[in-house]
Amino acid sequence: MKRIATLAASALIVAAALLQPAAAQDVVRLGTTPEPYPPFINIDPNGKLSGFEIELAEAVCAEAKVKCEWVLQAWEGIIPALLEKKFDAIVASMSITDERRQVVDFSGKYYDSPAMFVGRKDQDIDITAESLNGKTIAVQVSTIHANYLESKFKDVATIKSYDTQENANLDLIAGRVDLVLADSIALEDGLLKTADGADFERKGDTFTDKLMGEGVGFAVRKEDTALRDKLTAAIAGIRANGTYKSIADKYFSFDIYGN
Amino acid sequence: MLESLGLIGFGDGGWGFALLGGALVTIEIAVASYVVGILLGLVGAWAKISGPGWVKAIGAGYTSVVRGVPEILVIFLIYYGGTSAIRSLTALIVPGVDVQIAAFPAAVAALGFIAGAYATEIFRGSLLAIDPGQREAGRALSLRPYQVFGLIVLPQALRLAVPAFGNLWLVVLKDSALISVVGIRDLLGIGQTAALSTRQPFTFYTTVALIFLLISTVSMVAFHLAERRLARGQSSR
Repeated sequence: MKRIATLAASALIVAAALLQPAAAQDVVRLGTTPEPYPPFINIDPNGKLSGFEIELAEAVCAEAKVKCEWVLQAWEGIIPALLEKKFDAIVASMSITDERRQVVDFSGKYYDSPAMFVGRKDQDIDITAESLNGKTIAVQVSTIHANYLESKFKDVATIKSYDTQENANLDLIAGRVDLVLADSIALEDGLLKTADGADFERKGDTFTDKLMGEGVGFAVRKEDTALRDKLTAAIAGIRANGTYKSIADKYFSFDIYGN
Repeated sequence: MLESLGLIGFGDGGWGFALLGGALVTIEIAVASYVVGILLGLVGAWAKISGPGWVKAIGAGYTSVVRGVPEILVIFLIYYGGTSAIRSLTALIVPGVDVQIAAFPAAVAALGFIAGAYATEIFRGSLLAIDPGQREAGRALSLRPYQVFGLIVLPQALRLAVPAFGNLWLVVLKDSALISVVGIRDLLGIGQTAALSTRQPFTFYTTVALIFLLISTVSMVAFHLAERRLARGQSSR
């Protein structure tokens, strides 16, 4: 009997060592991915995070007067980890979509990177139904951009879907399609700024549309409405006091917040 | 080439220290899971050999389920499912208290649970390989049952089990790389971040592979020495 009591006591001690009390309410743990997503998220050899999204989230925390800590979690498991309270909010360029709304709740958006069309410099194309008539447009399959093309230009242009953005870009370079439509920052970094992109340019303006989601926000657990509202208010706060603009201007030459 | 060496080096902007830190985390997780696995294996082997019927059934269920399900799935089940189960349990006992399980113990629990199933079979096999006459001889000397087990059966069984345990160690070491999916900054996790940040996947994955190879080579030598020591006094066959 005594031995059982000793055993139980040591098991309790071990358990106490392994279980840590949940973080106090005034510390907000932000979950982000260890996979870099420049220029939004970068990570250096010392594990230090940087990038637009990181700076912005820290500014939001300061505005909301909460202490924030970063937690790294691979993208694949980031929503389950949020639901399991490994952290309290996701900061990982997660687009606000109705599908995700079924499991998590979102703050107001903090950026909305616009989409753009890219085509050959020597080809004169406007982004209108008349000008796109008979053209072929490449897009990555099952993206917000593919949905947009399907509902806007299905009747006038041929839409070619690709498994990856890289393959869509390669077919544009090879001349098999006239245009690609994708996230403007992804196209800027992945095509226009590369050596292969020298002959290509943006066609028309960068743009956003309801069909392409509602931008990127903090994802929180559905029951954490207080945190959600606090973050939404803080985003509005830094928008109003100029902090948002001074951070965004370091990274982008256009308005990353969108409309 | 020189540029790549700078990236995996220890200078400014080099990932050398980060990779070493990751290697240390990998070794810590692997050793801890291995110890947990061996302890579970001892219990499991006892359950399957001499436990009462229902204990035998649990032991059989444990080894067949764990060995029959992909390891990454067991990790997800324990990391996500297990922690929420423990949370609900503590909430029942002490209402209003919300506990969190840190990533490291959760990872060790998951990997140890997997290793335990394999260790169970290793122990069971080597214990059964000891001639029943040895136990009888022990009883004839009026040794107590735990003395028969600890002084006669276990030392001989261990000698048989060491090669298989060397093998299990290598498996646990490699399985520890699976844990980077739950966000632990182990060797592979750091290597992945470095590969994506620098856009030099080949450089970093090769480096990670070489570090794993170094760890496994050193441990194989250690197991070889242990085997020789345990076999001392045996005629070489």
